[in-house]
Amino acid sequence: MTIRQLPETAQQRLWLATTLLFVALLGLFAADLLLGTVQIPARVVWAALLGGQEMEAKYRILVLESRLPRAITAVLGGSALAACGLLMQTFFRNPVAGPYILGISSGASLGVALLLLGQGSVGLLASWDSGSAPGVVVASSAGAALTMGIMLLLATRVRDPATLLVFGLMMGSFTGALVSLLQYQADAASLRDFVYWTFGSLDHTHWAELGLLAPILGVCFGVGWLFSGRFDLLALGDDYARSMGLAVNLTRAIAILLTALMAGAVTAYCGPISFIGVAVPHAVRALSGRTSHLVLWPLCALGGAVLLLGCDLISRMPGMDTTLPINAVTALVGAPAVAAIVWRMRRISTFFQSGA
Amino acid sequence: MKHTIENGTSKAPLGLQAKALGVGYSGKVLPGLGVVNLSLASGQLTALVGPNGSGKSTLLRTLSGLMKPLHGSLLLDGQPVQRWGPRVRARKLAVVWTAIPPVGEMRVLDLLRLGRFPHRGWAGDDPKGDVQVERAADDLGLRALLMRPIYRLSDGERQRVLIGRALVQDTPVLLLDEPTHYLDVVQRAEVFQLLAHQASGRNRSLLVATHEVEWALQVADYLAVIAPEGLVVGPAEQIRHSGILERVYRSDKLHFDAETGRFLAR
Repeated sequence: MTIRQLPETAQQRLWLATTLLFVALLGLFAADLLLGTVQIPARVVWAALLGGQEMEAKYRILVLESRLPRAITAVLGGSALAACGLLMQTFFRNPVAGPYILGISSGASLGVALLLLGQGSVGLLASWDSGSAPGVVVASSAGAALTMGIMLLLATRVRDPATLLVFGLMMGSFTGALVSLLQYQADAASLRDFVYWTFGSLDHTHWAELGLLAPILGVCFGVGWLFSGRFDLLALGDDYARSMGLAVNLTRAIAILLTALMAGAVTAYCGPISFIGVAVPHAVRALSGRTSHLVLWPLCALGGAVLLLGCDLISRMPGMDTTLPINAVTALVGAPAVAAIVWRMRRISTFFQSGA
Repeated sequence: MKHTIENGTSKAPLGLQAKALGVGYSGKVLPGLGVVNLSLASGQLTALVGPNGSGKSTLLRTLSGLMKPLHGSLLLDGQPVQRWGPRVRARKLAVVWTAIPPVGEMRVLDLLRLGRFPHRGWAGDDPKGDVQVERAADDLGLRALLMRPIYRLSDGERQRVLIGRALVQDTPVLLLDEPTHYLDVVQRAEVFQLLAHQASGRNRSLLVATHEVEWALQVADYLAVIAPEGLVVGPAEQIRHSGILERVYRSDKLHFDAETGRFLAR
């Protein structure tokens, strides 16, 4: 019996998990195109996707300019947030870490709050709902990049992940306080715009935005996969990683940079979408029974896409004439899901500790 | 003597040599570790002993290349350790740390395979990987545990897995910090025996920092004792009768008996 042949049941379990997630992805993606507040027959959706011109123009526009980019945004955003969540859980050796743990969402919020709520700037932005609101994207990215830059700088000086975590939390509280000061003095209209951004939305990414978002996330995803073996070593702790020849500081910097770029980009376009990044890595670990990043990284991407597509479907259930805020839906679905997984395991700490 | 080995046709690894090494933090040498002379030759197990806080772990960190010495030279396989890149160094020297890595859910096989990292190419290619994993699993009796997650192992099994991870790294030099921590007396005996086998049977050089002086005297070829006047190194038998253990572990509760090699209550 050689080692290669040993883990047959484990191999089957992995294939099952992958197939399951892949089928769910295809199914939900199709459902996301077919279902919505406006009823469109399936063959019309299909024809529109194939480039047919014989249907009513409003249907074609609705499918190609609204539903398709929205579904693609859900796939990209969900994948990125879940992958970042996995990375941060490894980085901080903490089961409740997520993509926003380093202050990305608070930094992005501060950027957007300064833009939307700041004195005098209200006139500069036409309206949040009209068009792509590039200012919001720039402000959000800049805010996220700033907080991540500070964290990256701290990470070179602070070795202990738990200490870094505390810095991240303090930074979140500090920027959060600045945001609430801005909110307090803001007028009703701009306050409304800001609150809408924090609800999260998959509606503001059209083809032009996707043309930027997709390559950024694609490159980050590829780099992350290349580094997956190194992230495995990072999980063992710095001493073990260094004694095995890992360039620990470089790997840590890559982890932070990837998270900043991926979660920062998604947050800029879609708002701070919670819970995907915390929930999916746990679900995927439980499903696959694996711990290596080579396997978990793509599975998390798959799982994140599935979860955000599912949440998007719920947020605009057929029969409702309005769309629910995606951020509320991800938390409503995600929180019980995490609780259920944790309940089934009842030993979440074993991911990160050696004792039972 | 060193030159004859270097110039010889034999490709035997040269092990690890510390020459007048100064070990300490932020410019201050630790007492007893100001001028460390230590040579770890292949096929030999050296036990590093000394009271709590005497600097066993700090010395190990310095010898592993993770901490810079304050002065002196440290040769790994005949070259200054800093001259090797981190990955090349990791193909020559592996460490088992005291800390238990926080990877409870990881399966034994996956943890063992992590040890292959320094041998792997960018594409993850490592033709000798599975052979090394199998050999370590056989040496340490881990065959039946390969699919088990770490959190379901006993303390003794987990320690064998951590040692196995270092063996998989396939290095001529192996440093271990308190590998019998948490273990009962039988498990300790097992660990010491398999470490001795790695030295004599697999021709590696081992340095084992340990509190188990009595075991070290029975199993180790050499003892390195951190004493206030400096690091004293010698064959186990010689150290036993030299009186240094009596001086280093001085207490009104017990005394070292050189005849039996044991600590006895006063």
